[in-house]
Amino acid sequence: MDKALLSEIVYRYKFPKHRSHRAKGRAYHAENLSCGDIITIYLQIEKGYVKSASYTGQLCSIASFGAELLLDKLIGQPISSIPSSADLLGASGASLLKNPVRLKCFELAQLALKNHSPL
Amino acid sequence: MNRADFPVLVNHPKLVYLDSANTTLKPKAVIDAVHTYYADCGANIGRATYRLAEQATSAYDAARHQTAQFIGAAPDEIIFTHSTTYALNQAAWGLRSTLKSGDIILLSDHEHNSNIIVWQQLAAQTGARLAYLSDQPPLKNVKILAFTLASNITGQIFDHSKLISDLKKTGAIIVIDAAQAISKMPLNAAQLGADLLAFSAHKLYAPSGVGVLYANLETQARLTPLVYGSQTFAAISRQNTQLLSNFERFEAGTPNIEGALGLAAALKYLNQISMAKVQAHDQALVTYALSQLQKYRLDQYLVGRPRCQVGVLSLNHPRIHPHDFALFLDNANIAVRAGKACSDILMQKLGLGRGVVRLSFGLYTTKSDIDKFIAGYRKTMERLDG
Ligand SMILES: Cc1ncc(COP(=O)(O)O)c(C=O)c1O
Repeated sequence: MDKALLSEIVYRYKFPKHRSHRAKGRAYHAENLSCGDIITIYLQIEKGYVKSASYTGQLCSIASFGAELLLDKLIGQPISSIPSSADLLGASGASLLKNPVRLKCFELAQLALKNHSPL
Repeated sequence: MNRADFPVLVNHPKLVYLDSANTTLKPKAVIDAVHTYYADCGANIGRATYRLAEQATSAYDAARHQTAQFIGAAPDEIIFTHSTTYALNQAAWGLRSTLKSGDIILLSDHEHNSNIIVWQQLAAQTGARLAYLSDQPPLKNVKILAFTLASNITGQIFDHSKLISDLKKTGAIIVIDAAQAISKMPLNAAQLGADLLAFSAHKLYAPSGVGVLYANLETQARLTPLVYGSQTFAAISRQNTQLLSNFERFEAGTPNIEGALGLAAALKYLNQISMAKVQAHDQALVTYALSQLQKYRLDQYLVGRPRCQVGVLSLNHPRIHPHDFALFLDNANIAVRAGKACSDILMQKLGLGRGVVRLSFGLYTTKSDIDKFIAGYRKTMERLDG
């Protein structure tokens, strides 16, 4: 994997912005059956806008990264659609986008929202 | 042993390949054998009568002889399949008519999914009951014992000889999964007490797509083929086919000829080294790995502490995800397996929902590979848990 991307993943793993045990709002849950990872995302939605968001779970660094980037993008925005991995990762995420096994980890947070659509 | 014999290692000089329990790399001699078959022969076996076809047939027969010799068996006790999984399926479905409601199929608690799921299916379809050794079921109802000779997680070598001899007295059939053990030590199927024994060529330095089911003649007589087709019968009419009574009735259709010839080349390669030396090399690596893990206090993360094991070790860190280790190790050119490694039931029992980081050795593994693994493991701990 690309070194710059890996550093970013480690940084967000060690210093997450959105990981929190102060759960507010409705819970959205997903599980990766193949590796046992679990995530719960909490969204507070007001008048169609994501007012606050956080997550908890047992996650590998790439799954945490997926949750972090997803919530970066959602907070403060109207909840109209769930961004794609390509949107979240941009060009610097090419090495992850090409790895279907690990992309599944990255997409666990997206899956939680897709499972129980907040839209 | 010689890294130069393995083209993948020559083409990737920095690669630290510690995933041989998953599949082994192939020596040049094996790759050459596959190439030679296609370049110099190319014909099918068993059917045509021209010289090239005869050459293919006799090479394929020789591969069966060599395979038999490798496990102390007779050639007509060797059934070529496609994998261990397929061999275990032939074993299980082949025994279907011998089972009735209330019979017990007994498994160890250390089985690979391939040696569990098929038995679950068979139990469901026959009314037999699946039990694990830890359930301690009454032996008198056990009709089949199926177990792995060496764990693909802890490397533990299992000696069930007492149980086998007790069960033999009641006529139970003994099925041994030798997928991991086969590349690690000299094996003799009959001496192990196996009625049926399965392994894959790809874990034995040979091509994928070839498996072996050893079946002693007594058990073979009770076994129904899993697949039907050409090259399996003595006589055929519009309504009926009289199947051959020997191993050939289990090998319908064109087999993986080049794979079997590759297997023969791998066995020749191993015999030239000698399995005793292969075993000694593996054991020396285990001793070294354990001492280094201890030195850096990583032995606290070891899953299982078998007294007797092959070169397969698994680690479970309480906080760092196995996939994260694999990611960082991969960035240092170190290939390991991370996750449940097809052993979901054992992982459930051990409470390891996210699996393990597994390192496993091969002929080409060196102490320096183990040093690099340990350095990479420690560096990952520093970066993620520091
Ligand atoms: C103990 C054991 N049994 C069975 C198998 C299945 O082998 P294959 O995938 O070659 O069929 C494996 C492979 O990992 C194994 O380690």
